[in-house]
Amino acid sequence: MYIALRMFFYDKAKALVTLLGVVFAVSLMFTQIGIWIGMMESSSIIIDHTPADIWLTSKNSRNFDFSQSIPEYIYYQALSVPGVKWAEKLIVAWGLITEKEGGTESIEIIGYNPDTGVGGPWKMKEGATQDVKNGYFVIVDQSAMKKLGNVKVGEYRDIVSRRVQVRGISEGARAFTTAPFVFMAYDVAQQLGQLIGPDKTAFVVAKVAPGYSVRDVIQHLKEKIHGVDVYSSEEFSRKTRFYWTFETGIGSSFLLTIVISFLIGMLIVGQTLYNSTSEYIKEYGTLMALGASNLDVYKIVFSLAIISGVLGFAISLAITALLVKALANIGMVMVMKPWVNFFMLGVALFMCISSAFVSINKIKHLDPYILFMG
Amino acid sequence: MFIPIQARDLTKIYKKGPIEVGAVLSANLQLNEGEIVGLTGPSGSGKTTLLSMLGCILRPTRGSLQIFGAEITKLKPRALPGIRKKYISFIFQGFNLLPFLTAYQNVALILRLKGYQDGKHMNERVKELLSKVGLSDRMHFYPKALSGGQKQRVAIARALAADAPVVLADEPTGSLDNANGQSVMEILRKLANEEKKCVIVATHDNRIEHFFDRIVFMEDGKIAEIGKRMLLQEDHEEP
Repeated sequence: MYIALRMFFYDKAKALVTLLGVVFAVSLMFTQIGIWIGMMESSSIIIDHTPADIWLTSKNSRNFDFSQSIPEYIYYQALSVPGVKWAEKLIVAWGLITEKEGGTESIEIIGYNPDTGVGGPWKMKEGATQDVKNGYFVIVDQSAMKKLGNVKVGEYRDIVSRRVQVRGISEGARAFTTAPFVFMAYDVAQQLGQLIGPDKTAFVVAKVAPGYSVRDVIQHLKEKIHGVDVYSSEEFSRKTRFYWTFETGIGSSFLLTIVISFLIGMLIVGQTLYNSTSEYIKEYGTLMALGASNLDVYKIVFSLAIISGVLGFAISLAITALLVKALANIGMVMVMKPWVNFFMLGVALFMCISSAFVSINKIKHLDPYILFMG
Repeated sequence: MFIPIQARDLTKIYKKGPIEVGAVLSANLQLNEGEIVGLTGPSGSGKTTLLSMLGCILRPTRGSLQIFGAEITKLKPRALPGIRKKYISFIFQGFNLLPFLTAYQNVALILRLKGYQDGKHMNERVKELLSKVGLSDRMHFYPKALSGGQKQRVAIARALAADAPVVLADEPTGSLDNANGQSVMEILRKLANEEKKCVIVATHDNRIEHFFDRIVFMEDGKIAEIGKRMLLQEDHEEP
């Protein structure tokens, strides 16, 4: 490691080129993974923030956003099943809202029970979750401000020809689709939401009573209630993410970019390491002539790869942290997770170490005459 | 007591497709402790190939090579770095100093390879070696800041650090002016006479022939003659 460190920092221009290669590849992978996780988290954000254990959905419902309606009586049936502590109806529907300057914008209507707040916004900037009660009142999320204009509490908008008043601004409920979430009372959503209709709901969510297992209650619900699918919150969240990832092609395109970034990084690092090895081939040979074993010399090459990988990763981590903040300002969600950081460190090291094998091959075939050239 | 180097019928043949080229053919040679031997001959005569084989860098095609009684041709390749580390040190025409290490670090590296730990003892040893070759005031200079003669002195200090009983030098004066060349040869001569090393010097430089105890003259891959310098010279001067 001592020699590798000296070698790495001796030619600063070369070190910079190697680092640029690693940083470019790792940052690109970091960005793609971060944006992808951000999108996936957004796609199931309502499910993940609803304090329920079980979701009852229409048959073959594939995700949260495009669910068919189910009869409201399912709610009462669910309540009567042993092990259900409480249940709530939740509406998710599509609608149109007028913009400040005229024109309309698509929205995703979330109708919840304002008395319990289940399925409603979980963090309020202005107002409270109960403020949508008893009238045509709505809560708009902060993330929708750019799309809907600078919405203020107290102002009026039209949703599907019905005048509604903004009563609160929520935070953190960023929709995955291009249509922002607008929260309102369940009965109002039932009127305004398209394809819902009276006596219909989109979901019924339930909480399991203490002493019952989620698995058992799901089984009871499946036995008692027909014509619906029953999932645990985790299952439905996963199903929604899976849908957006693999069934829409979004995940595949991200995966492709990640793989391409990895290959580009490997190519750049491999070529730089190989050039460096070629340039220092006489020095490697000298070390071997002076008694260093093949393994000692391979260790230097691998150490160089590890130095490139670790430094490149550290710089990429800093760049990614800055990007997370910068993207948040333009309304994009990019997420950094500890496990992703560790994974990316592993990827960076794997990329650099596997590139080093090409250099090792060059050293293996070193011609001793090179040592005797003046 | 074992002889430092004993070569019998030492041969190196390179194959290029169907063509075989004999670089060294049946070399028989014994090199003793405390002597300095010159290896001379025209370019392409096989000097460097022979030196590479004696230094365990190149494996012979056939023949026997014994270093302090150990039959090198019978050893597995992975054993050779250990042999080199223990018995052989090299001095190259191109100096082959590691450019990213200072003179001090180049010498210290060999001590590290030999198992020395960083510390006072190693520090003193490096300073002593560099002072021996007259470079006390240049020890923290990188090779690019040293003259050719100074670089070769660092290379000699590095060879001294190895404290190996056999020193193989390939054209050690080839890149130096006469004064520096003579000075380098003085050091090598002292190594043989005072420290009883076996020193082999491959050279074209006839200005340094008077330093050798014996001269091995090679031609077309074969050892043409081994003899005292003056006698060889006289033989070649005859019509």
